Amino acid sequence: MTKRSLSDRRRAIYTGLNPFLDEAALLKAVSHWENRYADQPSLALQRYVADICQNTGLKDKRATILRSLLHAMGQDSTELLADPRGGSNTSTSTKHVESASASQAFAELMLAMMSQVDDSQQHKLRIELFAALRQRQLPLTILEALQRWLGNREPLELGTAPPALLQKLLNQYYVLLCENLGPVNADKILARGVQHVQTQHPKLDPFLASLL
Amino acid sequence: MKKMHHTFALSILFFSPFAFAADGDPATDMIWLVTASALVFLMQAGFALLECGMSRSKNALNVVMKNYMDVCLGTLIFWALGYGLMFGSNPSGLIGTDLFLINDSDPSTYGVLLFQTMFAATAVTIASGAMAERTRFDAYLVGALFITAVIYPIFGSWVWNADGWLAKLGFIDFAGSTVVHSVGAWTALAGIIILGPRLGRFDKQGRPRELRGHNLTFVALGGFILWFGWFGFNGGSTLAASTDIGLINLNTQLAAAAGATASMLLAVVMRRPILLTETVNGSIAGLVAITAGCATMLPVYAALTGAIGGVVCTLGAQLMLRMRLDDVVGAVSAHGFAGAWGTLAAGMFYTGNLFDGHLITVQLIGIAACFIWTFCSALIMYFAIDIVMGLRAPAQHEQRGLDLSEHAEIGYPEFDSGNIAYTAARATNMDLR
Repeated sequence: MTKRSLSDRRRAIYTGLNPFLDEAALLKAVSHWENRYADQPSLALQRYVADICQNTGLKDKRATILRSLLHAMGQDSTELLADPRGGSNTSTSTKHVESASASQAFAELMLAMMSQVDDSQQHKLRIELFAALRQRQLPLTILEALQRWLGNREPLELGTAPPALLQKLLNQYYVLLCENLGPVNADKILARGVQHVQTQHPKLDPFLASLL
Repeated sequence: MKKMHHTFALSILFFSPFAFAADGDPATDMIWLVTASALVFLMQAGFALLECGMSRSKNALNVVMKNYMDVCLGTLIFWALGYGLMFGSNPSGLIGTDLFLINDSDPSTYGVLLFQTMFAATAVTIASGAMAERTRFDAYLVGALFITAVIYPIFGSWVWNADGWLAKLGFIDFAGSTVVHSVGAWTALAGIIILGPRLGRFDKQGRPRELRGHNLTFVALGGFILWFGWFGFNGGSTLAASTDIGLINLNTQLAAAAGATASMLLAVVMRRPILLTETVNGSIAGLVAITAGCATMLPVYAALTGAIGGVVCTLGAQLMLRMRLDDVVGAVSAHGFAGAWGTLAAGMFYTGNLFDGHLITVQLIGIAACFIWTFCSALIMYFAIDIVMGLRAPAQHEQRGLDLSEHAEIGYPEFDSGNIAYTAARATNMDLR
């Protein structure tokens, strides 16, 4: 299951939930899955279903919805509905803009954090982050973009990387800061980085919440 | 049934050699017992303040919540199961078999149950401070439930149940240096081994990094409240309004003062700064150490026991750091190492029978039995919890702080120090599910 692409799994979620939710609620539920559960094992679907049924009239259909999702997850790609992020409707475009801005916020925040560390330490952290990223099963495009950036060859452009993934990348860097400089310094560097983005790029501020 | 409970309560009272030194009025005895229970309950506030103060501000609430909820859940499970396992009929000498869910009983049983519940809550809350800042709330509570329901009462039945095998050997632990404090400390040790240190606590060479607590005034206040509550802890263990309480609480006071003083002097001798946290822990170590023998030794030995307890605590904390074990509040050294020392001291300084080889051997057997049972069972328990539900909070939660990630609250929403990215305003917009 985890070997399937993000797009295929999103399509499976979309397909599995389709009989139970209207389009708006469906897209919201897919977004919630992307933000919180995209990188979790299938077992976590139970919690996901509990989340989306929390404030709706679907509580008594939880078991049916879960079965439907598990069934969709097992289906062949050709049997699934189209990727809800693949179309050109307004909500998809909005999502695209949001992801791009979250990526931008991520890039600015990372730069603001790195600028607080001296050159030799920064170099060391880049190498360690590079090594840590290779351990993670990141989408190839994102991994390559990060690698190019860490190698100082190109500016960071992550395109439509989901905020949940960016959050994990930021946390990975925070962990490295803790290990190399200590948790007190790591907290300070993160706090100053956030303040820098808030003051220098106020338009990105709303996207910081999804990264922290 | 009532008669059996009555007999049982009497046997507990008898077990303490000083319990019936004075033939008090049952009502007066009960007033003292219930008052002492309230004093022991107050120790929960002391633990909460001390542990909260020693944690960073982003984890302050989480530590308090653990203290708050382990006493609540612990009370219920100890009433339902733990008390019976500890004080029920014990033909094997290993485990109690009745007195579960006590409902219709006699007054003395109600009083003893209340008092013992506070003891169980004290034992279980010790681990919360040691494991602070990186333990998942739900996983911690599952562990606390199991400790109160099984680990603590089974060891307690060996010592404080009149038919327990250690009790029959003549093991002395008047108010629980081992039964309460070492049990709490060894479970904490198992917990911190399974958990691992906080992010960045040790550098790559294994040297510890200083992670200062956010409010040392809380630590000092917590120390004072614990000290105050200890008069109920030790004095109440007579289970009666006895004239022996004077000696018991004098010994308690002397040991606490000596523990703090010795800890301070050790810092001077070692040319190290006199830290408040270390000094407060020194007094707590003195209190823990005297708990076993407070009723059976003379004041001069109580002061000596407390002083050595303070030294053991400081050196023990350094040993823990050398072993790369991250005990946030120093609970293992203050409650475990000092508790073991105090239990040994109770055998060494027994009034009228000083340095008796047999007594000392029995004490050593009790100390070892406590460590083996408690540490091994807690290690298995925390390992299982880690496998099934995850004991350690994710790194993302450590980054945010457990206040926000576990409770969606911030300890100090109106004070933005600039050192933490997670302000109250930011938290309002975050998805914390």
